[in-house]
Amino acid sequence: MKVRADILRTYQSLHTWTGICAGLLLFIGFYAGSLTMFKHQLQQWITPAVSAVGTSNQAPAQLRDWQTLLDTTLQQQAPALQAGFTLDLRESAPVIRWYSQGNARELRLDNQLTEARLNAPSQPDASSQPNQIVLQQHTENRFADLLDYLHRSAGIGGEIGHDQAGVYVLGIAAVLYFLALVSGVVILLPTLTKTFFALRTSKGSSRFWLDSHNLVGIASLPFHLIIAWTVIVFAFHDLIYDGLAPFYGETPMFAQGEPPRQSYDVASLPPLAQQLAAAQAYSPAHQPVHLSYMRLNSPSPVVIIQMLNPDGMVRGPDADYLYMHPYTLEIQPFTFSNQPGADYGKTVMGLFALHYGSYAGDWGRWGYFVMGLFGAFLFYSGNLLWLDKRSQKQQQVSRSTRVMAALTVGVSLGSMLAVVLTLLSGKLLGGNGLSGNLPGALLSNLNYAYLVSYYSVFVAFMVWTFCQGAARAAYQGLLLLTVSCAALPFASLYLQWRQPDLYTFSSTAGVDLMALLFAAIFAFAAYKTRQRQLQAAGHSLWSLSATPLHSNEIHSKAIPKSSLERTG
Amino acid sequence: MTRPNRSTPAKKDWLQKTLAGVFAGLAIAFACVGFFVWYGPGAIEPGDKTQFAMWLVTPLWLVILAGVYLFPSGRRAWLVLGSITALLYCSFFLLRSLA
Repeated sequence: MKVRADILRTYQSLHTWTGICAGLLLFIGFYAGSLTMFKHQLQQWITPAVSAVGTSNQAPAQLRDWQTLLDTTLQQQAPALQAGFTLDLRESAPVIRWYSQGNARELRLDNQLTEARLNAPSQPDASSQPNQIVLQQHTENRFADLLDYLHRSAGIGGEIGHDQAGVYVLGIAAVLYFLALVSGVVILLPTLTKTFFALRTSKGSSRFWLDSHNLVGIASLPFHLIIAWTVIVFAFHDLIYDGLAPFYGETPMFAQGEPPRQSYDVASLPPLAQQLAAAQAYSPAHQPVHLSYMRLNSPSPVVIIQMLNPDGMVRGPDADYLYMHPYTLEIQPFTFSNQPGADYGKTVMGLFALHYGSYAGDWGRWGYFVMGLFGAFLFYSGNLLWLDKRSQKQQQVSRSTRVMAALTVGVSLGSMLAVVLTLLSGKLLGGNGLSGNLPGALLSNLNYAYLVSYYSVFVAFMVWTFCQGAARAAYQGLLLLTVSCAALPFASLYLQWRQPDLYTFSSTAGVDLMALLFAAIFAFAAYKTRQRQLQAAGHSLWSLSATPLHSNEIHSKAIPKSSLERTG
Repeated sequence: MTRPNRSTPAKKDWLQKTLAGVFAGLAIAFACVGFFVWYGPGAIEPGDKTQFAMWLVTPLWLVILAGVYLFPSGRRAWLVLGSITALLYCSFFLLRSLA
């Protein structure tokens, strides 16, 4: 297809500059987004639970025990439960949790969770004894939420309004990302049919990077368009609603529920079985697994029911959600509806699923995991291509190119390294493997330890990259990633050896296997990077004799090699 | 693959075109969605359709923004997008006041 030369040039510039501005933010958003596909598995991996006596069988507890615990706890802890509490029916021993400090919505790292469990294990004669509950308080582990935060904000802190500042930054980055996608397609149009599947390895690494950048970009274009669209909406929906308000005039934008007339009391709460049956009847394909009660003694009680559908589409990240009135069992569909019609609502909920990759069960999650990583590759390779082109065009490596190279290597490798090392240190600290030797405030709350670990590794690697130059740091960073990924399974084995009663080892072995796979990938990347560096001409950005950043603007060919060894 | 050897951004109009795309484009997107909520399928109704309408704004805006660089000049971009905006808003509020 023919495109006019000046239009091509315009969109070439647009592609370059939008890519350069947004690429690194999006890199973090994409690889961290891939990890959030399995954030619960990762959290389980980093906080291996010690199995309690008698719960080695992981079959879910019986509904009868849940009912006993619910009744007893509601009786004995009524004031504490008023704000809200949750039941996860997948647990092997019945447990009710509520926040004695903090809440679930905000990302607070010092949330205190109280757990209530039945004292007596379910024995045949348990009914003859009065029921006792045991309370236990602990800090809520928020590794999964922190990973999610990294995904949504690229690690940028601060709050604007009720949302994180980083979310808005990524929203703007997503606008640039859309422009980069469109312009990328426009500049490919003239040669698309000829070179789409061409992956030329013989014409130098630059051509190979370009071919794979184009192939990945075009092949996953629909995914990227959806992600760009949804990210912008997630970030700016409040502002867009405000912008729409004038068009509605006096007409309400959302239905106002009628004010409730009567107040309810927990004494008249229908049995669990009845509530679950109502949810089940609403959608037989789903399985209700998690109940979150709120305001039970009030005119507006609600229970939010998480509904799993392992083989089908769900519209939340992990599940569908129903809102149910716990007393009248009246259901307000939240993420899905079994009613005919309601096409607008269904379409909107489908868009959520398209972002979360939750429309095709675990296969969909793996697909999104891979596509997210390919997305990260797209941004990394885009930056590398720009760096190569720029240093070729300028015949020498300018300061700005060096800064961009250092940023590219520092941000992308540094961020991934920080996550891997946080996984490693978090597991060792949290698993009581080392905590006996390292007392301190940090260890009393692992959430802070995760944050400190992530940001200190990230900043340290950035500084290191700027001191060493991108070429050296790229190789070293990839080596470090290889080693630390390979260390993850050994951390698991070490903890297993220290505490043989950790029962979750086998259930998170997938994380260990993936870590080994990634160690292999990073090792291969390190090898290729080294090769390229050894072959690179002296003045190239990637040659090892390239000067570090602080001695910029010096043509490296002019410097004797021995003096470089000393500076490096 | 024909890649231009020199990438010379249209410096003079780069900013003007972008601003036209961002602001006039957004105004047009909102107006189109305004027509949709009143006259699109299902008449105006609170709730689901409002959500859907909110989702519609972004892609409309993005398409205008991505296409704005096709205008020969920033002046032309403002002229065309600006008059479309004025036309849409006038006709929308005229229609609403007649209704």
